[in-house]
Amino acid sequence: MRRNTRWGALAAAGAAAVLVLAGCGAGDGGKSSSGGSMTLLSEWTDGGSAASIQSTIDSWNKANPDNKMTQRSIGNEDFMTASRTAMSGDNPPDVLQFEGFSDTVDYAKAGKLVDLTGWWNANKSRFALADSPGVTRSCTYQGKVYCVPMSSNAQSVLFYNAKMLADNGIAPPKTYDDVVAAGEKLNAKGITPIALGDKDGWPGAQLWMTFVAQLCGTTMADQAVDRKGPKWTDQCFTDAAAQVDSLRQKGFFPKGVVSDDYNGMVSLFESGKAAFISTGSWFIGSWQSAPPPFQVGAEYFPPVTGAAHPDDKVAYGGDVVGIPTGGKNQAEAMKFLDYMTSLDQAKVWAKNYYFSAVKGAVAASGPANIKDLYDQTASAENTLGSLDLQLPPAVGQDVLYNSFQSLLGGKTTPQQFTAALEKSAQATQGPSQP
Amino acid sequence: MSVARRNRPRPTVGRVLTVVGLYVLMTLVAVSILFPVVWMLYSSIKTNQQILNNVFSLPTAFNLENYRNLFNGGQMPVWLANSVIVTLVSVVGIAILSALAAYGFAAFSFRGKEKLFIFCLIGLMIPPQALIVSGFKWMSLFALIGSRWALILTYLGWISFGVLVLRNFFQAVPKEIIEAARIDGANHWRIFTRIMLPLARPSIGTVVVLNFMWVWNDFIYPLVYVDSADRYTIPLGILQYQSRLGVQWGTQMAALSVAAGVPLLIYLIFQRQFIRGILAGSLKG
Amino acid sequence: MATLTTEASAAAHGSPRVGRRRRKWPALIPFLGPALGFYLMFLIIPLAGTIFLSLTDWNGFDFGKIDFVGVTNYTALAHDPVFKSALWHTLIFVAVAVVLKTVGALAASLAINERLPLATLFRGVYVMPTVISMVVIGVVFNLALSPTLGLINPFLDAIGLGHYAGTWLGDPNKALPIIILLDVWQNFGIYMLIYISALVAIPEDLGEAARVDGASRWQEIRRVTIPMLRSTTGIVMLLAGIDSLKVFTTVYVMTRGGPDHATEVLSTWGYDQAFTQNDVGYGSAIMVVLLAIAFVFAFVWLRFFRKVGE
Repeated sequence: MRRNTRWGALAAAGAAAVLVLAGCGAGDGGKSSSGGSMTLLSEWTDGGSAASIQSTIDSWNKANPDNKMTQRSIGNEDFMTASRTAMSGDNPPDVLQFEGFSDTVDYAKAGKLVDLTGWWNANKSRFALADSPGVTRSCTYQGKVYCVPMSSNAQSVLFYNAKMLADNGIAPPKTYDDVVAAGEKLNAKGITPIALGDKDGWPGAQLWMTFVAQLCGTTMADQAVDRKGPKWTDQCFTDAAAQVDSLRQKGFFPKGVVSDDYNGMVSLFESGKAAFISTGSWFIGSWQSAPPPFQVGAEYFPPVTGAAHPDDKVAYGGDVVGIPTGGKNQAEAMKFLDYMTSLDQAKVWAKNYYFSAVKGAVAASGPANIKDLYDQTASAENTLGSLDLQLPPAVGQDVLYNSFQSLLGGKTTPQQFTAALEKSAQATQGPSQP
Repeated sequence: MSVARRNRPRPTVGRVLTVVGLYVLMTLVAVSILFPVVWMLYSSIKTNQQILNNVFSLPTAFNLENYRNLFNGGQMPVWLANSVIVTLVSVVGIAILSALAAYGFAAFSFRGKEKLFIFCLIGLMIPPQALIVSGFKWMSLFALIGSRWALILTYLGWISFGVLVLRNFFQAVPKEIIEAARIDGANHWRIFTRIMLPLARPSIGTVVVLNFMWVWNDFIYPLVYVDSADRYTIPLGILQYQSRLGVQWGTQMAALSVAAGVPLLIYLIFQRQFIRGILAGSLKG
Repeated sequence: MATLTTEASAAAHGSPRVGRRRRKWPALIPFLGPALGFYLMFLIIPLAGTIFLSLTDWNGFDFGKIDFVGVTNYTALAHDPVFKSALWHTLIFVAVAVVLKTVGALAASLAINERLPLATLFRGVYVMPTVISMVVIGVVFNLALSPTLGLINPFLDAIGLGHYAGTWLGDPNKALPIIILLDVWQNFGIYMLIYISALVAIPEDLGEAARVDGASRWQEIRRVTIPMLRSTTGIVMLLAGIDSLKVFTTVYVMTRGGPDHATEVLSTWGYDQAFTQNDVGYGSAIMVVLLAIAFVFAFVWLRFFRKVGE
């Protein structure tokens, strides 16, 4: 009996103590509405971007002690859940980073983003790709601009392990046939040619888009997205899928291509077990904390021989920032946006391997091995925004990802893939009419 | 126990084989369980590059850099504090609420009791994902979003498991004990606190340990209810080391090791409680 | 106190209900009231919200634009092939997982109850998977099962079973069984604990009686111990069933419902619809269907284990 009382007393004391602590912290439900503090919500959790945004915020806070900015970031797909919920509530962040395209449409339609058209027209000359579809389609809705690009992502990039190629007597590939030849040589030696892990659906889909840009061209693809004539079942889209399928049949992808995720494919490449990896320029940003122990070459995926649009690239404003209309401090948030995209700040980001959308940042402070890739991106004319972002999620993230993943597993043919895509697009968006 | 041993027949070949077979099977299962834990721990003392090079290899050096990053530069102390506060308050609350309600179900009879009991089980049937959208709006109405109370109050609704387990236990207590107490003049409160609760220690222990783990590891509610970095709990904080663009393996493993350490500790503490309850012999009434 | 006298005399007279009803409620409220209060406020009301949302068409973040559409979402379910797959997968999951979890937990608890050396150690280890976050388990097993980076194919090769090597989680036929096994492996420890706390309460003398009659240990377990665990088995099966019905994190972390919906279950499909496809109404409808199935399950369980319900 005595034991019980002691336990009970202990539990009660402990509970009381913790309740007091909880009470202390709980009083500040929500943010203080007094002027002078702002929040930023982003996906910038990885080494390079996280350091960059913190640096930007620190220098802003020093210069603006009355209007401090704090930030929080959430990695992974969970960011979508958190950001959409936050946007739906009474206390959205003052500045939001998101991925544009269909998100911009959703938010703008609901009146959740501040119209930035005036500011954009005045400032767009300092952004790369400002008039290119990859950026304009990302942030424009019904003729008005609702966000600003922070990065100019190059998506159809082929990275290679320079040392591994050299060790195996392979010159860095300049044409598509070079890539195929290199892959066959590596295969013969038992080395995985191209690292790819499509568990999340988008790494594989991006490879398809690379060929879509080359074979169909940006204009046609954008029109298919908008349902303005071209259909996904049109020949060139199927051909693009067939290109990837031929690589699969040659055994260029790892055995786990369907079940490995993006981190798996990166691990494969960075641990020196695969010679190539095809992904986007953000991959470079992840080196800031742990660069691979070998020289990495990077160039746009060479166009397929005879491609109709060899210079079209998948490149777009990847990270965009906007100002939620529910924010309590819009004027200051606007100033922060301006500050964030200034050349000085952008240089800090570029130094951390970020493909900044601000012109001249990468040229001034970017690491040497990405400057060339960046220059090609910044000067590209026909840039295709990533199709999974442009399409409504039911098409772009459900059917596109799953069906293409099935293709990579050898269970779906290119024709079946594009047929499924078109069927879903028709069901969700309607038929395609010129 | 000693009586049983004395009466047991001498081990036959069959029994020896059974025991050996049992041990082999149990060891295999145990190894499969320990493997991820051990991997997580020794990966946390490797650098990111080492992990990338060979995911499963043993570490060659004892490198605490990941932990240093977590605590000195990183936010782990904040996350730890938030997780501890939220989980402790919630679990103590859940235990008290469920024990009270379980007694209510076990000791009283009233019309509609069965239906009410099933109603209380609904909480077990829904995945939290189903509730976060409406929960978010509901909490917003009370301006609780961003506060730890949004989380705590939500978890205090997780009484279903405790009620189920404890009601079952209370119902199994022999009626004679209760009758004896009644005749001695005890009211419900005394029966509850002096007889039922002490008897139920192992079951309460189970309820506490399991709810602790569930609340501690929950990340879906913090994901949606927390809106500032200084209120992040550990599962949410761990997302810092993941991004769509790459995982900082080493730091993440260190964070996960810390995250697993606390519930493990709670379990070890209550394990001893468990045994004490058994040895006290209070159950052999 | 008047209550006691009334109750005591009522018991003596064999009619427990007389006089109780009047006095009962004030005594009952402090017990049931607090728990019910929190439960209603913070679980049932959001659930009601979800049920309401299942009757709407809403994109999830624009509170000004919730369109009431009645049962349209539910009728749409009938035409959704992924929903049908998810339903099927969920039912298989429950059927298999409940059996495996119950049997596994029972076997483990009996073995540990034998008080053989190291029993406590085993008990501690078997509960560990519940402690470890699913993130770790997911990462480790994804890696271990990876045909590219993992251990399992080389291991099979090494012991001569190389022809069984495959793509595991990438194989639409193997992925679901693997995940079910993983879920059982992770959770049987909880049910084992429940069994153990019940086993501990079984008086030794009952077993003694059987043994004096000449029964072996195994027969004693079969004839005496297991029947005494009937109500506990009921609880375990109920919990295991309901848990398996709502499984989310295991599937989400291992395969996200892939490859191509081969491991999609109701909760993951509902979540996907609500948060990726921005169709909260439809996602909520799926969750409500899940809840309905759980209800059916609980009622069937009640029928079976009515004795426990009293």
